[in-house]
Amino acid sequence: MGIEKVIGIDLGTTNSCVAIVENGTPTVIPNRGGYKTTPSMVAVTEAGKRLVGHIAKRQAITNAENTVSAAKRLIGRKWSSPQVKNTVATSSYRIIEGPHHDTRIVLRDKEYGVPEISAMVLQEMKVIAEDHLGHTVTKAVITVPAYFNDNQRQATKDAGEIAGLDVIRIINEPTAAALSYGYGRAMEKTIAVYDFGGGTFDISILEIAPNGVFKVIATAGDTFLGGEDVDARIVDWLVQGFKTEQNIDLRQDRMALQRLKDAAEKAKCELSATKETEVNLPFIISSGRSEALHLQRTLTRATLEELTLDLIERTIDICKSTLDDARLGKSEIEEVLLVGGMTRMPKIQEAVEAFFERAPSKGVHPDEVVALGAAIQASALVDEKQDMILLDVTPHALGIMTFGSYFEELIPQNTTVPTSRQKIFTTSRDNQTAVKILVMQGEHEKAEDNEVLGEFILTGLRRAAKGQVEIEVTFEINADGIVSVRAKDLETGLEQSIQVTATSGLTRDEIKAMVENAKDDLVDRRVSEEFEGLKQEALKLSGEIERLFPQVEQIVAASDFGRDAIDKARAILAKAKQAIDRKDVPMLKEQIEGLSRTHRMFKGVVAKTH
Amino acid sequence: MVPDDDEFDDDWGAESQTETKRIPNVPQIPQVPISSRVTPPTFRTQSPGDLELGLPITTPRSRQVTLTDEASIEDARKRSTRLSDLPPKLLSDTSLGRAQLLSLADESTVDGDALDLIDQQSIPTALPPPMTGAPPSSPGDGSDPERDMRDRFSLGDYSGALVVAESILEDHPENAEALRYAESCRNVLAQMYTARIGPLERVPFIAVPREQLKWLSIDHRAGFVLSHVDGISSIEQILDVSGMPVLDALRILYELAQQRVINFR
Repeated sequence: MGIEKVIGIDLGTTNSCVAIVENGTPTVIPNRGGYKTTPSMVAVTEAGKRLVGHIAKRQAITNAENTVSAAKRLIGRKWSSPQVKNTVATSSYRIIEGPHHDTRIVLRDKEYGVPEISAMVLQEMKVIAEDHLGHTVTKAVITVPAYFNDNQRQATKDAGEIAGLDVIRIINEPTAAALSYGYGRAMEKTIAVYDFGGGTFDISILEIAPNGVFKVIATAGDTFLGGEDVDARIVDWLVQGFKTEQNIDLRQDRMALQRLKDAAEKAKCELSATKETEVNLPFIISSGRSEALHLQRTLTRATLEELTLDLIERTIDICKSTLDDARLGKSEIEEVLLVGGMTRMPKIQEAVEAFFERAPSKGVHPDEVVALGAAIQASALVDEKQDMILLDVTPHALGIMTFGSYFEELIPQNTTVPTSRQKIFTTSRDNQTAVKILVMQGEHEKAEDNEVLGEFILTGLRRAAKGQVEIEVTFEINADGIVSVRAKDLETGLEQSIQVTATSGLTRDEIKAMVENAKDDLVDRRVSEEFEGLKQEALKLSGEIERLFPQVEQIVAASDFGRDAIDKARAILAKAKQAIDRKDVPMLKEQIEGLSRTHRMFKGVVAKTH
Repeated sequence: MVPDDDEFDDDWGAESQTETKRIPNVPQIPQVPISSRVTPPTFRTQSPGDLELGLPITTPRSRQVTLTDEASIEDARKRSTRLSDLPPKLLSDTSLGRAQLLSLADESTVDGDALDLIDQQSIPTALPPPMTGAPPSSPGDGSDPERDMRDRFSLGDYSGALVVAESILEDHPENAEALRYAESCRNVLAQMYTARIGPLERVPFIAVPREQLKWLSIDHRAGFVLSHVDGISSIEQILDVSGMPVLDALRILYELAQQRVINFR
């Protein structure tokens, strides 16, 4: 038996991509439409039908209230987080607070957990891979942004579980990109990964060590800056032009806006290869006199660059501050990798080259590079013959809050797990009999800027002057990534501890129920596909029988036999039609047998008389 | 009271002969004064004059006359009447989706005859005119919209009945009878359109040269649906992404096919 296939998935904010290593070569698997990326969009139609991917995107504006895009901005985040508030303010779909201070999405009056929505996208990717491979896929490596904290990573894992995938590893997107570019094998390098995708911009500085550790030494970005903003600028330009010409605001019509958005994205892509493109949208809107009006404009690359210059500059500003954070000069960056569809825009390539004073690496498709890296890692994890090229590391530093609201780091970022670290602290007030241990994750000096993972109180301390009582705090991360924190009064031996498990905001019971629902949905989908296949077969056989009917009737009419067979054949045809109309798979299977028998019989009768 | 199927066949069989001669290849204006169309709700009491009103009574019909041969129109009309006189009831929960919706009639109402109703060969081809939002010429005087709705339904004027039902629902969203009629009208109309354009798995493609598209006489809603016709997406997918009520999208696809702007494979 061969090695189990594990897929690599780039679960993006706006687009997702699935890849696999086949015969040693990492390959992106195209979806049924032939596209190598699938929009990370989920919608529910008026009829209650779920749409995922391109089809959801095509109706994203006309059914905006029931179409979820960029769920990744919400995954694993608490309702109170600023990012959630920001998304609530800008989203067309309803976002509400969940029962565990988490975030939920409402589509057609039904509540969904954010991991549940992401699971629908992951399930789509799983199906794409299964259709390609011809067998079930159960394991995956999924990528996440380098800045994702444990809760966000856990939420992504939960999404995988709901989709029916065992997520064997979560890896950072820039790390995946670096792997895909061929870095990581006995190499020591400092690289920058400039990732300008559809919905977010990220810049990461990585140090690659020969022992397989990819240290993310700095990462920053803007979760509300992406290709969609570029599209929006083109839409604005088109709307403004039309308003000047016709005095009609196309924004008032959702259908017009949907077409404008699609056309803007298409024009943007075309302008990466050509100097100008025509936007042609006939019947874009009807005038007051019910006369349909057409939109036709030529957009040049120069105009696009002018429209988006400030967006490009924003990315460069972020690169600059990130390098400062990493205390690195441009000359210390040995490679610059481009990731994300927007990096195909020539002006962006120029800007990146100008800033880093180095031509960025090319040769890998920017939309596919992250998924390919995930697939490489997936393959390495299951194939013992391959070198283990990546180690599991802590994505963020872990520590506690100390006097003055400062964050004291115990386990640094990028520490390989399992690991254990200790530090001794003292009391901060005279006669202090209890201490509160606030467990936090992050890299910020001020405690409030980091994520609180949990807290507990150690009581029964001896009354003494401040600094006299010593408390040992121990952090432990086991191989499963579970963090345990223990505080011990070194004098009395009294101790308290807490186990911190990352949470997506969903309970185990909720996840279990979602897993079952997702399974049912997949079964329904497969049944529907099976039905389509059977239906085609039944229609083909029915057509053949109908074609032979006149000849058979003629033959039968000339004899005393066969009338029953004719009637039976008619009955089978009618039942097959009924089974098709009812979408009844078992009944259709039964009728196909009858149709096949009838077809054989008819052919036999006709053949004998000729 | 609901007459049995045999009664339907007899009456409409007679009517169909008259009607076959009555539909020329030009827009048809009903011969009977509107007042005479105010028919009692049950089929039995209809006069021959009433029966002539089986066609949707709003004009223009310029698109209808291009539909098909007259014999099949009449055959279709005969069958459609069976359904038209059935008491409207909620045939489906719309959340079940179109696929179920299209087969609902046979499951819940007419025991097998409904298969005929969605048979492409026998579907009512005299499709209703586009819904404009304003009630088409009324069989009633408008003072009793519920009766008007029932009358229109029993006459087979489903689009008219739907417009009236929706106007009732605007004022009284909980009106159970209007809800039932609206649902039934939508189902019947959807079946009619679907039967004309074929299975939802069919893929429409643009049948005129791209450069000629802008010279077509279509509105922006049709333009929107047309923009989704890419030769790859099925009818079902286009309905899903159209962002408009299924019925409207089906009507537009049907009309585009009638104008030979699109074809199917």
